[in-house]
Amino acid sequence: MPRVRAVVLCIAIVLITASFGCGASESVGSPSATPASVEGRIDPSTIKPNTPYTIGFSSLRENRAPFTGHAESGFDVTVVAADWMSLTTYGNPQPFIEFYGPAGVTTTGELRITAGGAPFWLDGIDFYSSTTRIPYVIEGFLNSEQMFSVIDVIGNTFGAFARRSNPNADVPVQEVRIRLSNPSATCCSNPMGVDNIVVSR
Amino acid sequence: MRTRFAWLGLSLLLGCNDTPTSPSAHFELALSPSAVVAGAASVGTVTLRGRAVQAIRINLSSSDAVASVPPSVLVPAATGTVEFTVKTRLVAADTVARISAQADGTTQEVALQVVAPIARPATLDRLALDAVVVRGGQDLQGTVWLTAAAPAGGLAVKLRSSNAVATVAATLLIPAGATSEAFTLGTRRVTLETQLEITATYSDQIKTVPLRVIPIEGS
Repeated sequence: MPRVRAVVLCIAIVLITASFGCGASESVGSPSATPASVEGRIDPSTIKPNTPYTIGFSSLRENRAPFTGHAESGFDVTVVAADWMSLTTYGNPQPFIEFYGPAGVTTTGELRITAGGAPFWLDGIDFYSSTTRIPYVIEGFLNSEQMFSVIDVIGNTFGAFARRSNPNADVPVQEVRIRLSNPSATCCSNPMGVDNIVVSR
Repeated sequence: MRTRFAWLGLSLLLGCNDTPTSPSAHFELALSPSAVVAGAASVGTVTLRGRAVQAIRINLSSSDAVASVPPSVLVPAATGTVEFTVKTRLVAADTVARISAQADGTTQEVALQVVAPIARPATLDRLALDAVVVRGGQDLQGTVWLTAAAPAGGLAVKLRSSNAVATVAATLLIPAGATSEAFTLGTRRVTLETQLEITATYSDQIKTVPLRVIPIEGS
């Protein structure tokens, strides 16, 4: 009887191992390559935006608290890369979210915006950097396909917020990726962040 | 004993015999290419320096989200080498990701330069004069070069002489699409050798070259 139990246990372990494909295949410390797919394809020509929302992070209360995600007006903002934090002492208006790039290194910070799989439209974003220019990439995905990609660099605003409109504001998406490059000077670390993510649904 | 054989047999059948083993040999890590345009891939190679009895598991990591690597690779004992793909993401600024391979306390690290595919605005590259010494009263030619083609409408560079013995136009307009433009520098007769500087300025970029104006012989 113990022998039978051991063989059954062995088979169970092997099957579990096989179901996980003989080891992990996810990337380490990096975002997933493609956004999560949803059931059923969305036909972009059949949907239109109705109501605008501004994700202003107004419910963040704790200054310099680690920021990993935020839900507001049915939208979810989640951190994909870098260590983000909430700032309640500054913003446009306060609070807003930011991440630090160490001195002398360009650091990538990334956010993901979703609406539970529902389509939405990205109208614009307020970008911030204390002492550097703001290189950014915005990518939009629908039906797991990339719908647009915007790449640009905002000149040094010396701590002021700079609003950028999405030139693809008429394109519905299910996921938006905001990727910031924080090119800190050799002397000093630099905070870079976002506020007022304007979306429609 | 029979249970152990059953486990081994099934594992081999499923191709899962990748049980990590403690590496006894050191290894090397290389990337090719070591610089890629953002969004392109590079190929990493882990090579064992000595012969291994068993396959060796090497853990991989990237210092920045601009580049991603598999969590680990298994270096077969038979070949002693394995390749893996380093994927990069679109970014708007040049970024260096440090790719690390680690096993049994040994870490190897190489840098991957991810180049942003974004046009860089033209700025000052170089200022030069045809000569470093000129006789007073003679003209001289200088040239300003840009790092990229001047934008639509041209690019205006400010010129200045540190001494009235040499005169230049206050502004040099480099035409749209051009990467350089020449200018003429006039000098006055002098009785004593005069040292001065010619400066070109654009935005926060400043280029300076020295010039020596000497008397005409017999004057």
